Formats: sequence, C-alpha cells, structure tokens
Amino acid sequence: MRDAFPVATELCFGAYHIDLRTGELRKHGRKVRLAGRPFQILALLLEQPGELLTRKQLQERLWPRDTFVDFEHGVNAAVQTLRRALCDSHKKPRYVETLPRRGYRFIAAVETVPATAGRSPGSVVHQKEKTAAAARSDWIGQIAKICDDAGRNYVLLPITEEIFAEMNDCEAAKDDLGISLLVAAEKLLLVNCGTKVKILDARNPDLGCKVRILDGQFVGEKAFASRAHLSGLS
Amino acid sequence: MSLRISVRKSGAVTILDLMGCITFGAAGDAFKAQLREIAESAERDVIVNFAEVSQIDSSGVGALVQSYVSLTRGGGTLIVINPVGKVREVFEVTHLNRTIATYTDETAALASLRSTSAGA
Repeated sequence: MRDAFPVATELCFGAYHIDLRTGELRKHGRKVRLAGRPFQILALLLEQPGELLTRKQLQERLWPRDTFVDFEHGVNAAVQTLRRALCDSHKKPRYVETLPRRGYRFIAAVETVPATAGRSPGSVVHQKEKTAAAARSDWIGQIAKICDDAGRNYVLLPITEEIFAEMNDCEAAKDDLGISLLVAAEKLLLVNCGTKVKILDARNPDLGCKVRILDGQFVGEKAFASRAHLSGLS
Repeated sequence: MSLRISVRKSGAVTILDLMGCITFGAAGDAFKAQLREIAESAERDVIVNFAEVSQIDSSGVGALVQSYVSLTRGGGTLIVINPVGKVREVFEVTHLNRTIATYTDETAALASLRSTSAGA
C-alpha cells in the first residue's frame, strides 16, 4: 500500500494544487471551481492515492444514512463533475480511474507541498513545470495528430493556454453560451480529428502542448492542444 | 458543395430551410448574410432547419451564435431543428445544442414559440 496523506493539507498532482483546509483547487495557480461532493470525493481519493475507494466507502462517508437519495446517480454525477474539473476522461484516465462496479482509484503521482516551499500555489506549480520541461523537450518539432478519446470527429482547440483555462472555467460553470461564444470568436478552433499539428512547446506536457496546425481550415494557426487530444507522440 | 437557403413564413415565424454545406467561403458568407439580414429586420422569431445540411464548420457556428445573441437581445428567439450526423456532432462539441433550443421537428418548435408568445 502506498503512503497516505493523513496530515498533509496541501497536495499537488499534474498541474493541480489542492488545499484541503480551504477547499480550493488550482490549476497553474488559477482557481478551478470544484465544491461539495465532487471536491470531497477528490479529497477522499487523495487520502490514499493508488488505492481503491469503494462505492460503499463513498456512500458511508459522504451520504448520511438518513438521507433518501439516489446514491448511484449522485456518485456518478459527482465523479463526472470532478473529471470535468480535472479535464480527465473515464476512457483514458490520467487522474481518476473507474474500477467497474467497485469504485475509484486516484492514479496520478501525488506530492505533498513541503512546508518550506511557501504557500503560494503559483510557486508550487512553477516548480513542477520546470521539472516537466526537461522531461519532454524531445517532443518539440514532432508531428502529432489531433484525436478524441470520446470517439467524436471534432475537438475544440483553444488558441492559447489562457483560453484553455477560460474554456475549463466555462465547462466547470456549465456556461454553454460562453463556450459557443469562444467558438464564434475563433478563440476555440473547431478542428477535425486526424488534423496534423507540430509541437512548438512542451513545457507542461502533462497538461498539453503549444502546437502549429498543419492542415484543414485553420492551417498555419497556433493553438494549445491538451495532452488528451494529442496522439502519435513518442 | 454550395448552400441553398429558402425562406418561408409560418405566422409571425420566419423559417430558413438550408440545403448543402455551411463552410468557410461563399456558402458560409451567404449564411451569415442571410442571418444578419433577419437579425437586423423586424423579425423576432426564427427557426433554422438543418435537415438537409451535411456539414457545418466554425464560420457557420459563429454566424449562428451571433444571430442567436442578436435576436435574443432584441426580445426574439432563434431555434434550430433537425440537426443530424456531423452537424449534430458539431453542435454537441461546441455546446450549441445546449445554448440554442433544438428540436427534431418543426411542429414542436412552432408550438414552443407559440407557448412562449402566449406566456409573454
């Protein structure tokens, strides 16, 4: 069994930093909206990364016995919200893995934030970005293909990492008009799966890469492709 | 493939029947121009019928969103009917299906507009 984090209140994984004491989740220092049961489920998963958290345990710890609700639907909806906030996918999980009919497991590497590292979430993330940069500089210049693990023919590529963050904020807030307006303003590019892109920057490869689009309607444009939308990288 | 646009009326509602592809270039420009003309006119309620549209790209999505915002600000409504295949998929990916009311048949769309008008 891996180490648990019974006393740590600040943890980080991928581009995320979580403060269990204040109930805040940040990505690259930017706050991600996540509250209530989805946040509580994340906190429970982070208590024992790599270990199975059963549906029964979830029910006992988060759904009081005297409440008469549809637990199955409730937990599914909460995990879906959590995955959306983490830009994760149940088919190709990077953080939350489903063990069918049994429960969930947190599969990414989790680090405690050292007390001497300071309390600024930005500084923690910055430190992690630097570590990741050395690991994937070999991707720069490679050609990748845009893909979608949900099996759709199209994906939305934000034109910058800032727009990527804005898109995630919209999705977390269920701001559908916001997403549509970003498409209308061509800040989110509607791109066919299979479109070729060249990797320009892979400073934070866990999150995604800055790319140049090589064919299709947006040939020549720069965009930010999340890791889940890039295939063919070696 | 080009785009053909037919305009008809059902009471006070303007219905656009589209046929072809709405992609960057002449077809996309024609679609934008038609929607702009409607948004700038006195028309309030518009139904756009995508039953015969096989493809739409971001320029078509942009035109639709802008018209939706423009008509809504003016107190009107824009409804989409019959998006199928790839068009439906584009609507889902861009969240248009959750932004703009979408129906699978014209009768239901007209009924929803009537009930909205009656309640106003």
